[in-house]
Amino acid sequence: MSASASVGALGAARRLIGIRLRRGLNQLQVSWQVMRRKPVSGQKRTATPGKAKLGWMLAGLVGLSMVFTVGNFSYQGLSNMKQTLGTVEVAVDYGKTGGAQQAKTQATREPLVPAAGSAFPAGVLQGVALELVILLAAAFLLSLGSGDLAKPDWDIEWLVTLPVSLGTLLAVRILERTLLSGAVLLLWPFLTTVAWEAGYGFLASVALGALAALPMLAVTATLRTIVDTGLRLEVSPGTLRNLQAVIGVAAIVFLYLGMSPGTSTSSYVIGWAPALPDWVFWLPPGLATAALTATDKGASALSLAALALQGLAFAATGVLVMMRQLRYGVVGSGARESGRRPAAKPAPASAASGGGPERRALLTPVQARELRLLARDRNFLVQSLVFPVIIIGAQFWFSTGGTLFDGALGTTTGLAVIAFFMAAYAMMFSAFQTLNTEGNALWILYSVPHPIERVLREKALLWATVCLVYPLAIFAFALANGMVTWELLGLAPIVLAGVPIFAVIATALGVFACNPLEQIVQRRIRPSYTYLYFMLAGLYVYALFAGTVWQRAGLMVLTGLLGLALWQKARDHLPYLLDPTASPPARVSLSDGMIAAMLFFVVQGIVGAIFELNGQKPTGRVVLIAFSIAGATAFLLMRFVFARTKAEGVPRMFGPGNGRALAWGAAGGVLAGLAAFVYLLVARHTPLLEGARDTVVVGVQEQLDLVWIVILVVVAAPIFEEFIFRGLIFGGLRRTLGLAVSVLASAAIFALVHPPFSVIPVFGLGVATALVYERTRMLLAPIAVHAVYNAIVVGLQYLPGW
Amino acid sequence: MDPRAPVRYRRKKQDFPGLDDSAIVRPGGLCMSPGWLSMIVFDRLSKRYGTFDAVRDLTFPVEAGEMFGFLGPNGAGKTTTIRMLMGILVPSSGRATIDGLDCQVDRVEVKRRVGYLPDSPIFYDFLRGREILEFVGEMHGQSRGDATRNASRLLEELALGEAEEEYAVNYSMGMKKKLGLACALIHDPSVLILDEPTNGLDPRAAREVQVLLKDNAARGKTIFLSTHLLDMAERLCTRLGIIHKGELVAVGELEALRREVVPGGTLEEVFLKATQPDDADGPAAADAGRTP
Repeated sequence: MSASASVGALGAARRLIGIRLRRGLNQLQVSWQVMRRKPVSGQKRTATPGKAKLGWMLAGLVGLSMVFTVGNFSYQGLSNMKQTLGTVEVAVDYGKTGGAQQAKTQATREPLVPAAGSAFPAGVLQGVALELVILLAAAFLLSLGSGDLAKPDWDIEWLVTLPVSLGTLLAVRILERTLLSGAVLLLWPFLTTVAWEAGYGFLASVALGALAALPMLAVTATLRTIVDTGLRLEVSPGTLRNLQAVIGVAAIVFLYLGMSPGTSTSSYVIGWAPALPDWVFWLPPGLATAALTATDKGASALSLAALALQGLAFAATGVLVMMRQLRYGVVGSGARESGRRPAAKPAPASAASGGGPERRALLTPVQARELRLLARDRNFLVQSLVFPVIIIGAQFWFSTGGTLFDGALGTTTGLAVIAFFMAAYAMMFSAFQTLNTEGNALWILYSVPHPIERVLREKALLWATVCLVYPLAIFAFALANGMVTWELLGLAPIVLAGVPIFAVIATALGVFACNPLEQIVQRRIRPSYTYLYFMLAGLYVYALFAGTVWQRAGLMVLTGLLGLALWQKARDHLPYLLDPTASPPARVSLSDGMIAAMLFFVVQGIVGAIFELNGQKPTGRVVLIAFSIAGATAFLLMRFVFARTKAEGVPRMFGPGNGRALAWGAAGGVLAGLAAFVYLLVARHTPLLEGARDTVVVGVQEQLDLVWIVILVVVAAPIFEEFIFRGLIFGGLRRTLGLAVSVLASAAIFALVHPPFSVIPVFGLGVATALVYERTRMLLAPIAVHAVYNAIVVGLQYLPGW
Repeated sequence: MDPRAPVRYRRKKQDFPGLDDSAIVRPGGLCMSPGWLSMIVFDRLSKRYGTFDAVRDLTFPVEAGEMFGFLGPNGAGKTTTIRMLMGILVPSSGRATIDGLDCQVDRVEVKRRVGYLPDSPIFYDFLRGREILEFVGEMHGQSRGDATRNASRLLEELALGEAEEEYAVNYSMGMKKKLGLACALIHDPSVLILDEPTNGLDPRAAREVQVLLKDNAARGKTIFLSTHLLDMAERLCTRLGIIHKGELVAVGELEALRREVVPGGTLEEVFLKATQPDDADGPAAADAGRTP
């Protein structure tokens, strides 16, 4: 008989934290291997490398912007507190009574003297302490809400089988959650800001902020561990799920409450601060406030020590409580709420078997299952359907200081923005999660003869329909309150069209965001894609504020095409979802076209700006050079990337039957040119169009000399634009869509990048070139169409009498 | 030709340059039958994870109506191979076809013919066993009524009727395995691909499943099952293949394997010989009867 050597508590702690760190390091190493693309040498089997490449860059950007946002909120919040709580109204005697009532009293607020031994006045100290209480509560609730309370942590069952005392295990768990907690993002920046404002240097502030944050994080970690380790054993899973749904809602409310001082001086936090009782200053939030703001170093150190002691004591008590909770074992019943129905069971299906032909079901099996899950999983229900209302409501409520109905819902644009954002938020938790909700059961979809793309399409459709309820409800509210204006009628279609577009975008981004192979459920969604989704939603909201109809239509078409491009990329990705290493082979797709078009316009702008900075006027030569550089850059860069990645489906320039292609091109060009001629004739007699023409076309053309413009429009423009708009965008669309849709969509985006006056004839040109390209499958033909068309239109400008 | 239309490779032997009717002799002395007539064909199927070859150049056929046992030590590449058949993993090179359809390209068509049981089936949260089974039936294109009827029949057959109203996440490992088997059988496929079908089952359930598989084989279904339970393989399978470190080291009928690898030995001895750590004397196996 032999027993393994015993491990002390400290040794166990070191090893347990060590294995967590090792896991993180291994993940980093695997990503590093992928980025270097260098195979690891050696005979032994090594860790399978991952496949995410872009993810890291995106995550870095998102992390930076989050730190910036939280820091900004902290700074704004503190300065708002100082402005209100740290000043006092001084009644100015205007010689009359009631002078303080006048608007001018605003200007007469004077700063208060700091409290004894502190850098801040007593009112500000109260505000800071209250803010810390709220942030602490938000951090605690958020950490609880993010996991799944009804499921044990993935490794606790394994860890208790090791010869380590339960007390050590629990203490280590608290320590680990203190050090590796997301709540640090909420507390640390604010504490650092407080220290900075109290007069410390930057590095000292950061260090002090961390020192003060740690004991508070220990408090949240202890509470969280008590709840998710212990409560699970004593409360039934069903109750726990309901509890979690409530916690999720409460967390959001506290989060917005905590952020509100940063957005408005009339925040509730600032209003409530004077009522904060004194005993709070003996608890961690108050002690942290005192430690950071005391002018005397000794008092500061004393407060910090007290804070640390309280954190330790709290954690120790927590361990004792949990040891009592876990005295009968770490796993409770282990079961979910039972699916057994109450007595009444529906009639057996065999009874119905004799019936007539089956009716075509309204919902597909996937949609029916999704709705059933929604009805049973309260957490999912609350997150996808109740959260949007609370989040948007809370955001507007706290930032307008409770005057929601005057502030946001009162204006037409505000109403439309809220309507759109509610739907967009709801899809964040539903359409975006389509793959995530499949979870580890994704294999089932791989074993049935039903393409996964169709599953996603069905889910996107379902969620688009469900989420349309929000904007419709808000517009109904507007209708009932007599707020319907012509402006609202103009905005409503943008909002309503945005819902299906964003259902597509959310579903497609959800495919990239989801990692079905991740062990820890909370990490299965990559947060950077969530952020990207909101950025796109924000961009679309811009359409609601955009001035002209053209801008609105342009943004809608752009967002729609973006949705299609993302969907296509996601579709290529689907067969590789469960494969840990393989990635889809490079293939030219719509997204390449969108990137190329973007590049084309950005480079053109930059080159033009450089010329202008050097004092050059936008003459024909300058426009041509900028255009050619941009076109050549986009063209060569894309070709380089395609060659490098050995992409399939790169558009061909020439091919068999060049002569026939040229003939097709010439014919198409003449037709499109004739159409443009007719349009110009009509335009001459239409004052509205003629006005548009004067502002856009002629103004520039006066300064252009003929030779340059001929080279530009007859040679350069056709080559570059055809490669991007026909080769990549139309070709990309055609890969997954029918002819008509591809032709119209590519012609629409082609028309939109031209000045408003020429939108209609250019749309015709887009249709003609796309059809010719479809017919010949080589770029020579649409280039010919484009060249002939441009030659005709430019020629018309120089006809006598035009 | 429309590239999206499923391509049938069956009975077009020029599509299989590696396989011809006169049987193939591999370096190890392996002989095989004409692959282009077979139900499942592995054609130089390979999978690399980074620098590690999980499966290397797998080339062998599985005939229609056969119960094929796929044996191998832990980590030999059994599950990887099966996942490539199901389109869950993408082959690094080579391909596999089922009924003449490429498992990667014609993913959807293949699924119409195949029932699949993974090594450890995981099911949706918040759904009852019966509901999951009905869902799978409906995804196979059955009407709701048909799916309900088929589900009740299978649940009774597999003795899951007691637990059909319980959420599937609360099932024990063996019950999950049985539910997975029911999902594989619900559309009455012509090919069954089963990863460790009796793992985690109690002795009675294991016996019942074996009987069920025998019935299905008797009705002409092709069954491809991976296992390391040699007695089950011995009892059920008409032909066996042994994979070791990603490579096929022996394939053939049990008698032939015994004769060629360990004359007069048991299947266990064959297995141990074929998968011994150093390949000093090289594994040898033969496909008896089919060699002309």
